[in-house]
This record gives sequence, structure tokens and C-alpha cells, in this order.
Amino acid sequence: MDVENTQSQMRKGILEYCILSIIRRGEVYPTDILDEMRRSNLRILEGTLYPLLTRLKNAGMLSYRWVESNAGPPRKYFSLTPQGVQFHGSLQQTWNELAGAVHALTSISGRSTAPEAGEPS
Amino acid sequence: MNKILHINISGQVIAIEAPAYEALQAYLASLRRYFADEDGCEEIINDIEGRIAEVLGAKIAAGTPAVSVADVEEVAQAMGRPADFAREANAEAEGTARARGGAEGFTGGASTSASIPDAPPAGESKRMYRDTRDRVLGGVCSGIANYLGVDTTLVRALFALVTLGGFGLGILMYVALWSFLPERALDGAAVSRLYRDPDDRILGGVASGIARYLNREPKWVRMILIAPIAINAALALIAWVIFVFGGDVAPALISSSLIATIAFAYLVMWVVLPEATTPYEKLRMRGQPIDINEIKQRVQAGLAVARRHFEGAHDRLRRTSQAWQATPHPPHSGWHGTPDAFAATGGGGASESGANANAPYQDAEYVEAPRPFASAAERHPRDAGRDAGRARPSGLAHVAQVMVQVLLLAIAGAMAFTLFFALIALAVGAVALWPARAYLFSGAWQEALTWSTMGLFVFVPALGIVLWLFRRAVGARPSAALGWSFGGLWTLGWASAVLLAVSVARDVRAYEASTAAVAADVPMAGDVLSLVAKGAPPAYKGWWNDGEIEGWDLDDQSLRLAYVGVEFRKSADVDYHVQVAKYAAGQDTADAVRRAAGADYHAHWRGSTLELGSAYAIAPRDKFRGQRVEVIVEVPAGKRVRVDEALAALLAGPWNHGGSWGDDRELDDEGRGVGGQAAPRWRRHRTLVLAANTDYVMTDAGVLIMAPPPAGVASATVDAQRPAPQQ
Repeated sequence: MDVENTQSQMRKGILEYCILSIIRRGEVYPTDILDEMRRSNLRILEGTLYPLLTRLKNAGMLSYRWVESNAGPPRKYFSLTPQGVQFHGSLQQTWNELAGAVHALTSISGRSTAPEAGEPS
Repeated sequence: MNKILHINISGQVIAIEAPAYEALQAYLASLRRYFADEDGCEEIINDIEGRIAEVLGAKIAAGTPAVSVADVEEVAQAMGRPADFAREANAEAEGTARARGGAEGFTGGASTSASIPDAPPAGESKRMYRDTRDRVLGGVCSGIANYLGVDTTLVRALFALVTLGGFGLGILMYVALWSFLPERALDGAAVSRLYRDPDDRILGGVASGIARYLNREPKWVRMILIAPIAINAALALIAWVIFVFGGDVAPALISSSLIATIAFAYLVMWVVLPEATTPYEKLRMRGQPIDINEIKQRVQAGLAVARRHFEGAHDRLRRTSQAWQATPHPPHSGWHGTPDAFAATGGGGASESGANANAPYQDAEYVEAPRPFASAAERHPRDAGRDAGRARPSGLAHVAQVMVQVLLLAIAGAMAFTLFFALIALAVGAVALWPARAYLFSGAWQEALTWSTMGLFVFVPALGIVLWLFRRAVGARPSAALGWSFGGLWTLGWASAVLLAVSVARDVRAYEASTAAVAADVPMAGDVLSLVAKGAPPAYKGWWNDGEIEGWDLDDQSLRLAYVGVEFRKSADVDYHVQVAKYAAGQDTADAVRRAAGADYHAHWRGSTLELGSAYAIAPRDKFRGQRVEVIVEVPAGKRVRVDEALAALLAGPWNHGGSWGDDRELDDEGRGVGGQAAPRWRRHRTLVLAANTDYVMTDAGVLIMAPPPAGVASATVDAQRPAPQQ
């Protein structure tokens, strides 16, 4: 159980950064985010994503607009606010520092240390 | 056969099977609870609903006619349940307060806010909490159940049993736990399977619910519950038989306290266990995996009821929906959930699912949900009704209601029991006293009334109740025809009983005496009047009793009774006087006197011996009307009387004592009922118990007291005067 706890903490730490990074690349709606994260092997549950998006939006990091869809319910398309861009920048800096430090400490060269890919059990 | 609903999720209309709808609601409700304290809760829920709508819509588009429970499970699995969220986003320690929202305070580190209810952190040993989400009183039981991983209902039932059966010990435990356990909004991980089964119920469905929980047949549980009562009854029967046949030893009743315990436990379970009303709950109760075929069978059973609910609440819901549309929502176009828009799609939807739907439900019933779909304000009408009926927080009201039910049921049961055995007693009595018929009924009418009263008034309700129990036990539908016919017969029985009572009362309106003086054949001589009894007291030997019942006997010719009393009074003059007063009841004075006079009693006064019969005979034509014979002996002051053994025994006989005919009223000096009164005056037997062969002397005051026999003289006189002529 301890391992899972730590693993969970690790994932939790970079979750926001990853999501913000996805949104930074362009306007996306939640399903897109989920798909992309799954493709990258960093899975996340809807129940974790939506509250997170809402919190970020409430904090002013994100904004969204409604887009009607013929094939389903209307969708929220999220994009970063300038504040969010700035926020993302800070996180990116932190991440780079962290990654460098971890690389140095663990002597794993080359690839970025992707966190454990796995569904929460 | 399936029931299909059409629901509106985030503007999208989806066809969904009824149990799946329930499951979806439950899932959304759990999500709502989970995010309840979160800022922006509504928005989160809306977003999730939108996502669900997307997924389900994709399924429908892919060819599924209607969303099934399996689909909902899949969605819930994929999107995660609150427990999963908690694990993903757990806090390192409880109560870690992190500022939420706000640009400055938003650390972006742990994406946890103290407001999200969470499971205990993975890695720590699980602690026991009180569950604030699933509480009847304080959530103690559900917290314990969550910790142990057992059924919540089971813990509640055990607590209730310990409390009520253990002199309130459970209350102490509960309060202690209430104060010590910290609160936490748990997600109800303890799956509750213990329900009462409303479909298979004799009383409250407790036995079948327990049986389902244990995966056994209900009849076994019932047999275990009934066993002590049956054992008790059997033992009582054996004891009675033994007793009747003269035995002394009878098997003791060993299981009466067990009966009380079981009955009490049953009542507790009735109160604590919830009823499994919806098909989904029923499936959970039976512990079966959610299977489509099973659901089909279950839903079929509930179709008609649900339809009634829908039709009633449909209007209410539409009104709510229209009110809700005033709330600002993201703009939707093209997917309005209005009735008109729906009708266009609903018809299509219906025909799609027509293959599965019931024929009567061609126009597929839909629930128009105000947007967003599962907000707290809007409720599935059936859910609203059900939840209102099962309002958990008002547990006390429920308890009181059930207790009243059980009390009434117990009273009815006791009445039925009593009636049943009254019937048996009457039947036995009737058979035993068959020969007495001739002496009882004053006419054919009365006899007929008696039989009809016995049959309709006593037998019918007893039989009816037994039959009702039997039908319930085998699960037969309550039959209105049976109920009406039994009720009608019993009403006739009432009428018959009343008529019979009136008739009998009329028959005994008057209670009069026919008095005749007895003259001495041979003049009295001496100072002592000896009273002797002639003949032995009658005794009756029936087929059912061992020995003889003394005091009466009857055959075709006559009914002989030994209710003879002797009263001694002070004579007005210096002579002895003897009178025989025969009492009887009758419709009026003349009738009473006639019946009284008809009693045949032997009283023969010869010299200083008064011979009295041991019994008086009543002819069949006079009927039994409470006849009595009183011999009034007037003794001059200073003179004596004595009785012999036989007469003393007669007077002291058990049949002569114990307040015979009724209440003790005042009598006038002659011992007759005061004339002109309608109510008969039953005379309470007040014969002195006299010792045999002992002289009694009459005092001036009119009281008889014992006197020592005068030495020699009186005995000789007595001996000489005791020829006892036979008649």
C-alpha cells in the first residue's frame, strides 16, 4: 500500500502540468484531453479530470467556450488564459528543474522519466 | 420483456432500460455526494453528465437499442467511482487543509482540497469512522460496516437486537461510539444486500429477506421461526391428553421463552431491514450478478405499479421542469428536451425499442428531465415516492408505525386463537351434553338459533382466520369474494347471536317460587326434628370423564338436580312448620311458577322425622330453568333440629356452594324476589353447613346454634323416632 501511495503522489504532482500542457497546445475539450493522456499512457479518470478543470477555471487559469455538436451534447472547449500561460510557464520551469535533478540523482540518461503508466486499481 | 425509459442527459435523449436508469442515477448520486463540498460542484457534475451522454450516445449510435445495466457499469468503471477518485487524489494526512480556489492560494501541488470527502489514505491501516453519508441516526453502524466490510443493514440489525434485548446496552455502546468515532463522508463501500422481501411475505417479509441473504429457501427460515411455537403446541397437546387420561406427569413447556425471543427478534428485523422495492434492489438482495435475463423477469413484475406512479407524477414533473427551465444554462440548440422535440424522436425511439417494449407501452414512457439531468431538485417520481416512504432520517416514525402494525396483528392473532379454541370447547361441550338438549331449548326456534349462532358466530370467523393465514402462507392472492362471504356469514352470526341472547333473556325474565307447605303425617313429638336424606345424590357419568360428576344426572325422562337447600327460621309459634319452596326462572311470573311447580321433590314429614329427597326431578317439558329447592323449616325457639350424615353431605356438597346462579342481591324476608321487578333474583346459596348428628337449637334471636346433645334422652328419642319409612 505504501508503494501505491507514493506512486499516487508522484502522479498527482505532475497531473496539472500535463493537462495545462495539453491545453496550451490548442483549444481542447475534456474528451480530447482524456484521449491524449491515454495515448501517452498517463491515464486519468473523468472524475479526477473534471474537478481539476473546474478548479483551474475557477482560479482563472482556464477559460472555455461552448461549441454545439451535431453528434452529441454541446462541448466545452478549454483554452489557457494569459494568467494560465504564465502559470504553466512557472510549472514548466519547476518541472525542468525537477527532471534535471532526478536525472542527476538516478543517473538515467536520455528519456524523460515518465511516471508509472497504469490505471488506478 | 423490458421497460425502456427515454431520458434527457445534457440535452441528449437516450433510450435506457429501467434498471440501468436506476443504476445510472445511483452512480450520479454518488458523484454528486462526492463533489458536494467542492466549489463548482454543479459544473463538475454537468461536465461529467455531458461526458456520460457522449459515451452512451456513442453506444446507441453503434447499434445498442437501449442502454443496459452492463453499459452503465462499463461507463462507471471507465470514468471511475468516487472511491477511485479518492485514491487518486488522496491526502497525505487527514484534515490537511489546503486552500482551494483563489489564485494565490492555489498551490497546484496536491490536487486535493480538504473539502473533498476522501477515503482514508492508502497505505495507512483503515480506521473506523462514522459515515455521514449513510446515516439513520449517527452513522455509527454504517461506519462500522464500512470498516469491517460487511453489510450495513446487518450491523444495524445486530445493534438493534443488542440494544433492545440487552437492557439498553446497545444504546450505551452506540453513544460511546458516536462520541469517539470521527466523522467522515464515506462512499458507502459496504454493499448492503440484506433487505426484506416484499414479494414473498407472510408478515413482513423478514424471513424471506434473511433467506435470500443466506441463499437459502425462505421456507426453511420460516420453519425455524415457527418451530418453537409448534413444539410448544405439541407439548401442550400431549400434556392435556395425559392429563385427561388420568396421568400426573406432563412434558414441561420448554420453549416459551424461545418463542418470545424469536418474536421479538422478528419485530426488530422488521423495523431495521429496508424493503427491497425496485428491481435493482431485489437483484442485489438475491445476490445474483446483474444479469439481463434476471432483470427482464423482475421488471415485468413491476410494470403496472410503475405506470401508475408515472401517470400520477408526470404532471408534477412537467411543472417542475418548466420552472427549472428558467435557470440559466449553457445555450443548447437543436437538442431541447421539450415534449414536442421529444415526440419527434420519441416515436422513433419507441419503434426502435418496440421490439423489446411491452405492447401496451407503445408510446414509450419517458421522463422529461429538466436540464441538467440528475440534479437534486428533480427526482424520478417513483424515487421521490419511494424515498419519501422510506425516509430514513425519520426512523422513529417508521419504528412506531411498524410496532403498531405488529401490535394489531398480534391482537388479531390472539383473537383468532381464542375463537378457535372457543369453538373447539363448544363443540366438545355440545357433543358431551347432547342428551341435555331436551332440557335447554324452550322451542325449536331457540334451538335453531343456538346452532346458527355457534356455526356463524364462532365457527365462521375462526375458520376464516385460519384460512386467511393458510392462503397467505401459500402465497395465494387475497380473495375479495372469500373476504365478503366470510364477513357476511359472520354478520349473520352476529344477528343470530343477538337474537339468541334476546330469546334466552326473555326466557329467564322472572324468577319465582312455588311454595307448598308440608304437613306432618304423624304429629310432631319431642324437641328434636331430624332431617334425613332419602336416596343418594345424583351423579352423572359421561363418556369423557373418569369418575362421576356429582350433583346432577339426566336421562330421557328427567333431569335430576341436587341443588337443595335447607333454611332454618324461628317459628312464629311453638310448632314446627315445614315448607318447600321450589324456584325456577321463566318468561313471566306464571311461567316461572309453573315450571317451579313442575319440579318433583320428595319431602315427607312423619312425626319427628323429616325425610327430604336428595334431588329434585325436572321433566323435559319444564326445561332447565335454574330450578332450586329450598326447604324452609321453622323451629320454635328453644327447640332443636339435627341432620343425618347423608343430608349433611348433601347440603355440604360441592355443587351447593360457590355462589350458584349469579349475583348476590337482596331478598325480602321470605326469600322471594320482590314482586314486580323484571330482573330475576338469583338466590345465593346460604345454607349453613351443619355437622351430622348434632343437635342445633334455635335461639330467640332466630339463629341456630350448636347444642350439646342432652345426655341419653334425645338420643333415645331420636333412635325411637327413626323408622324412615320407605316410599
